[in-house]
Amino acid sequence: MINEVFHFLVFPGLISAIIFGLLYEGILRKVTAHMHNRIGPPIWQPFLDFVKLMSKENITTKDSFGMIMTLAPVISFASALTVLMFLPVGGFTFLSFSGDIFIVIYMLIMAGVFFAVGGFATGNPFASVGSIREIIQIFAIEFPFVISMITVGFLMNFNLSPFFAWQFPFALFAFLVSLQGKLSLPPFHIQEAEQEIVAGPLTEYSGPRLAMHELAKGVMVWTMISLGSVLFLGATTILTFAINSLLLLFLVIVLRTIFGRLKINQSLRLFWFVIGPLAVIDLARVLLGLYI
Amino acid sequence: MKLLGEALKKMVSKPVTRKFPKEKPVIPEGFRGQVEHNKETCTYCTLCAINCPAAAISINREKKEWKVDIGKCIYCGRCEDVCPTKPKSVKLGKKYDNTDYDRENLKNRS
Amino acid sequence: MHDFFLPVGPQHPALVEPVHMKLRVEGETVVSLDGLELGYNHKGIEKALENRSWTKSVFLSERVCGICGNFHTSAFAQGVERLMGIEIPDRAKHIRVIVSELERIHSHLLCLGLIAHEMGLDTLFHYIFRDRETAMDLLELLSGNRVHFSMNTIGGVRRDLDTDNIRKVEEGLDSMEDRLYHYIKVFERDSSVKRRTSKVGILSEKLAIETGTVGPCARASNVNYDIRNEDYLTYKELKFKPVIGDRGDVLERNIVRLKECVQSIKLMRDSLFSIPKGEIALKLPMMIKVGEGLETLSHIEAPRGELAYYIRSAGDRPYRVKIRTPTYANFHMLGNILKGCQIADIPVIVASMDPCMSCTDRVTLVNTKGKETVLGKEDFHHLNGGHHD
Repeated sequence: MINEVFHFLVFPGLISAIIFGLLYEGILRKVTAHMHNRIGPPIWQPFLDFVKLMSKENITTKDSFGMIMTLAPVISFASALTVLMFLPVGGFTFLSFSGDIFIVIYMLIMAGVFFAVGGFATGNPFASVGSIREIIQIFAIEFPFVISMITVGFLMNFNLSPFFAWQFPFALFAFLVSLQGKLSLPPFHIQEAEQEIVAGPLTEYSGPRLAMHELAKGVMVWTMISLGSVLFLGATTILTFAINSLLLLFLVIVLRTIFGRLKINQSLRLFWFVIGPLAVIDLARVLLGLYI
Repeated sequence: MKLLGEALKKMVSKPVTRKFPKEKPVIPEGFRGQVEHNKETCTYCTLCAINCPAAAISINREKKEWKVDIGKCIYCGRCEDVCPTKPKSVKLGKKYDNTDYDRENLKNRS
Repeated sequence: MHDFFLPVGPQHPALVEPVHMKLRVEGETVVSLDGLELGYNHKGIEKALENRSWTKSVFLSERVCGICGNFHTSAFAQGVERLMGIEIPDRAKHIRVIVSELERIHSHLLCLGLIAHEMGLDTLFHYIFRDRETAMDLLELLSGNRVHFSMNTIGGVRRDLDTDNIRKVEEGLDSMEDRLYHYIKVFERDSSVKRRTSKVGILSEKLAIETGTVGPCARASNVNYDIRNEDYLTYKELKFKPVIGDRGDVLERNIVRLKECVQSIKLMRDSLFSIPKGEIALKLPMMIKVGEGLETLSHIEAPRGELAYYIRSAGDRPYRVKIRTPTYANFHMLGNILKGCQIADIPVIVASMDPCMSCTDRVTLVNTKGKETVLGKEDFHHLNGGHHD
């Protein structure tokens, strides 16, 4: 019982998600800066940003629904945390039953949808464009993501447990590209394109609401990378979990640095006609039993 | 993908930016910084004040006062060009951080 | 389908300088450009030039723009020298060409870095700006300042080159040339860059000639219009040939700009090799007098296109100076090439036109009754070919 509560509240639950999630973001910014040949912010910069944002005020324009704008990042934060309940790290897990992979998929979709809902609740044309793009992105990314999760989940009776997907390289590839899309990192940082639509759904956010969104984003990074390191790279002990997470983080950073932004129709075409069919190949292999 | 090689190489090399103001830049010779006035060689001929495009220099011949408003100075160097004395009494030095919190303190520098 | 107005600017992260564009958008496609407002950066320099003597006006005309300041002084000084009927020494001509071409390189690299930033590729933006620092350091060595060099004066240049500086300039040019060839490869072949710039914002040759486009935007659409073809400064003896492209999209404009940078390096090397000894400026009196009522039009090739100065003299100061900057001429094609593109293409297309609002905002019309009017929305509307409601 103590082990399970520790798992839910401390590691990899609430406190670790906040601290390590923001730390992953700081590492991402620092390593990217060194790739750009400059010094960059210190690693604990997201914590400083969070504290600074909490001290500013919430500005609500008269065309927006303040209540929905406040609740949307909270629900995203909560959905991303719920996934951690089912994640087995070091042998313990808070909740585990057959079919919990579907809950994980559903919760991750909710996190994205409520980000778009927060954008629609502001009365800004830029935010509307950004939220429409977010919905289209969810539509595009879920196809290969769900197929790859089901491919791997089929082998363990849809109960989330460590699995090393070396013999399903297409599913692994589809998961890695969807990971980049779910984290809204280049080349898929379309909805928050600051050059085109100011800040996308976040245009009217300020103060504590924006701080809550930063927290939700940090937890999402931690959740997705932990999910990848357990479910696709097979981490059973804490040490292998750490190594796998850092490897995935490094891959995410390198992809982030070398690609520019895609347009929304190019992104849809990429996920549906290139990445998706590759994932379907591996799903067919699993269903027909053509594996070791 | 063409940027991948350079990105990985630069990740482990020294950054080209520096931590200003702890590390100061190297100023080359001939840099046009703040105006410096030499009281000993100046003859108060007022040529620099007449030719300044921004009217930043003010001179009082009787009291032998020479003042420049560095808020108006455009660092062009015309005062140095027209000064007739040898060595020149008005020169552009190397000081680049000519700032203050109060605009009044920028006037009347000598 | 429901369409709405997307207001781009005056404050927008994509635009470097303030301009207001009202775009009508359906979903993700731009239907038309319904209004264009300039004038947020109006400084009143044309009026201020009427109160200053000729030598002081040179310094003021440099402050029209921060990126192409040296070209403004070049055009102004060239106009006044033509009015006075004097010719500057050969060494001064070579030094003017060297500083001008160095400024052209830094201006083109700035534009390319901004296009990379608008595409979301911040890595390329930082690399290009790091290499632009080489050009800025060379300019600081030659003239004492990184922007607003104050090198030109009426009758020649104000500072000389010495052998130490020449050696450093040549080393800098070698290192920049390697990096420029690398960037030509990146802009032409990197898949991420090609996806955002190929077949985007196509300007046909017919439209370029009709709307009066100038500069690299016109040369990328197969229009052979470069003022350096005419014989001013030393371009004839350097055997100058313009760089022309024929596809007319954003990719072609990038490549034309990069190839012009490489050509500038070659022009600079030839100039440094063949620079003669001699004076750097004519000895002119401190208060210059030009005949009253004389007028001239002097035009040169700035990085963004043709820069034209109309100068009319009132004796010891200008009577009227009218500056026609290249960005102002290029705005007329913007309404046409923005039609039918996606929202994601807007910043890339606007940045590829290389707008410099600081140069542009001087559209004051004075009609004969002495009233001042500013060209407003309706006039640009009409000039842009955008459709009325």
